[in-house]
Amino acid sequence: MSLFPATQRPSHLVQFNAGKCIREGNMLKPDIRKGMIYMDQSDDQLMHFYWKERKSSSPEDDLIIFPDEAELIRVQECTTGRVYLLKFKSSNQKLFFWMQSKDQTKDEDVVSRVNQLINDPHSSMDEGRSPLSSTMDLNGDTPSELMRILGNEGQDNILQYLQTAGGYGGTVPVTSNSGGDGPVDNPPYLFPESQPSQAESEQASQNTENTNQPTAAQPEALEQLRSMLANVQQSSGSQNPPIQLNDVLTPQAIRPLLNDPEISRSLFPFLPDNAEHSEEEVRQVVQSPQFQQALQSLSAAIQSGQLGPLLSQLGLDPSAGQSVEAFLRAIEKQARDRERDGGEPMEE
Amino acid sequence: MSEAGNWCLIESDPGVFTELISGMGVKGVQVEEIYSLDESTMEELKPVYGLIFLFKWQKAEAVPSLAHSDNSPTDHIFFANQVINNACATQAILSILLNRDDIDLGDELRNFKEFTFDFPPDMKGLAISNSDLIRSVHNSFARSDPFVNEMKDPRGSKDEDLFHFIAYLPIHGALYELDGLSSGPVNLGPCTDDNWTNKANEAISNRMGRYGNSELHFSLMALTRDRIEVYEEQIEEKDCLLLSLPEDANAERNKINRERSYLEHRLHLEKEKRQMWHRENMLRKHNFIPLAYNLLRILAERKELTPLITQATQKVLAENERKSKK
Repeated sequence: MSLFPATQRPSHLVQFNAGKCIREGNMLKPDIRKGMIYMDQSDDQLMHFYWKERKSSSPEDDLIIFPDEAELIRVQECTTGRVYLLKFKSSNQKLFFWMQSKDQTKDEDVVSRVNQLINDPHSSMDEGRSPLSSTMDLNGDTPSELMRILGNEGQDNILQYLQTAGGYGGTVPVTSNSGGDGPVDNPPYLFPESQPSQAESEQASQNTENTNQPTAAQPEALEQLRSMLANVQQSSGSQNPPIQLNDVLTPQAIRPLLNDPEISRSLFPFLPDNAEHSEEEVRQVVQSPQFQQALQSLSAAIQSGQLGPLLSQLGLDPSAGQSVEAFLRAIEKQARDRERDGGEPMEE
Repeated sequence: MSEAGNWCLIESDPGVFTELISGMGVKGVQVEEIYSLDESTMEELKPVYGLIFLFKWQKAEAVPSLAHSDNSPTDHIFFANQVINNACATQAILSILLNRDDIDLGDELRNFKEFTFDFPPDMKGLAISNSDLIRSVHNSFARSDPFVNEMKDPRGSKDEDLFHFIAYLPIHGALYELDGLSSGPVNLGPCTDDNWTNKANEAISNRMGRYGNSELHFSLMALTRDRIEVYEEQIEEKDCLLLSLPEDANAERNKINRERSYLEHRLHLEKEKRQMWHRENMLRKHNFIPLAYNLLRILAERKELTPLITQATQKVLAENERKSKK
C-alpha cells in the first residue's frame, strides 16, 4: 500500500498571482481576494488548473483540463485591466481572471506557459525542451490515454473513469478553508484597473502584503466588457438549451418499450450483474434514482466533449459528442443507416 | 497542496458507508442513520462505536469552530487534518474506526494505524489522501453527480453544498470531538461507555444552536456493531435460556419466546434492509451506458426519438424562461 507519492514536487509547473472575476448577470466584477493560479500534473497524468487564495493552503478551484480543451486568452475589450479568459472549447464554460502581479511584462510568458501545459502535458516533464517542440503530438495523448483506459479496462470502468476524472473539465466544488475571512460583504462593483501588488515576479512567495486596491475603471472599459458578456449570453441562448438524457428518457417514453416483453428481454444483458432477469426488474432499475443519476452524469460528460472514444466504441461518429442533442442525433442517424443498409433494424 | 489522486463525491448514505467500511477490510461494523440521540434509540443500537454529525451548508459562511484549548496529551488519539473535501465522510469514519480498541480493523487498516501512529495531524491527513486502498474503496461509490458546468457563483447555488463531518466517540474515559478542520481533538469531558451518547447529544445541540439562522441541513449517523450479528447472538442467548428452563415454567417460557420472536422480527427487517442497501450499491456502481444507449437506439428504430428530442428542448426552453422571469 503506497502511502506517499513517488516523488515530491517542490513547486508548481506554473504559478502567478491572479484574482477571479465573478459574473453577476451581464456584469463581471472582481473578486478582490488575493489569489494565485497554478498548475500541476497529478500522478495519473491529468493536468490540473488551480486557483486558490494566497493565504490558503488548499485550492478553491481545481479543474482538470485535457489537451486542446481550453485556452487562456486575453480579453482585448478590457483595455484598462489585465483580464484573461479561460475559455473552454467544448462547453460554454468561461472563467475570467485578472492579473494581480505588478509586472505585466511577464503576462504573455505566463499565459503561453499555461496554454502550453494544457495542450502538451509532457512539456511539464522536461523544462529543457523547447516549448514548441514539433515532435510532440499535441493532441495525441489524451485520446490515446482515454482509449487505453477505455479499451483495456472495458466499458465497466468507463463510468468510474468519468467520475474520477474530476468534473470533466468543469469546476469541482471545493470548500474553502474554514476560519479564514470569507468574501467581503460589499465587494466593489468595479473593474480593476491597475493591480499594485508586492509580488516582484510570478514566483514570489505570498507573505503579508498591502491590500490590492481596485480603482474605478473607465466607463468605456466597463461598457466594452458588458457588451462582450452580453454577446456571450446571447450566443449561448440562441443555441438550443442543453437538454439532458433524463429529459428524453422519461418514464412516459420508456414505458411502452418496457411493456413489450421482447424489448424488455433484450435489455437483460445490460442489467447489473446480480439483478434478476425479469421484466419487473428492468422496470425497477430504470425507475431507480441511481439510473437517473447515471443519466445526468452521462449527459454532463457528453457536454464536456470528452467522450469521443466512447462514441466510437458505440459505433457513432466521435465528433457527435459535443452535446446531448448531437449525441441523440447521431444515434438516430445510426438507426436510419442500419435500416437502410440492413433492411431491418438490428436486434442488438 | 496537490492531491495524489482524485477523490470523488460520495453519497452520505448509511448503506454506502457500511459497505465502504467493510470494503476497507473492517469486520462487524455498520452505519445507521439516526434521528434522535435519546436513550431508547441508543439502547436499541448498542454497542455504538461512534457518532458522526454531518451537515450541509447552503452558504459559504465560515463557522467559528470551538477554540481548541485542550492541553491534555492527545498522543494516543488518531487525529488527522482534513486535506481533501470530498473525502470528509471517509475521514470521519476513519477517525472513529482507528480510535477504538474493540473493532477488527483487518490487516490493511491495522497496518495503516501503526504506520501513522507517530505522525502529526497534517501528515496523517496526507497519509489518508495518499492511501490507494482507502481512496479506491471510497471512489468505488462515486456518486453520479452532474458537476456544475457554470462559473462558481459565490452566493451559492444549491449544487455548491459544503459538507462538514464531525466525529464523536469516547476514548479512554473522555468524550472527544474530532473535526478534521480543527487543529486537534477536543476533549468534551469525562464519560463512561454507557453515558457518552448523552454527552454527545449535548455537544451536538450546542453546535446546532451556534449556527443560528444559516440554512443548515444535518444528519446523524452512528457506527455500531453489525446488527445482524447482534440479533443472532441475542437469539442464541434466548435459546439457551429456554433450554435451561424447567418444564413447568410456562410464564417464563412465554415471556422469553415473545422476546425471541421480537428479535427474529428485527433480524428479518435488518436483513431486508441490508439487501436493499446492497442492491442500491450495485446500482450505484453499475455502468449504465449500455442500457441508456440501447434504450435510445430502440427509440430511434421506432422513430420515436425525434419527437422526444423536440419535446425535451421545448420543456427546457420553457423552464429557462420561467426561471429568468423570477
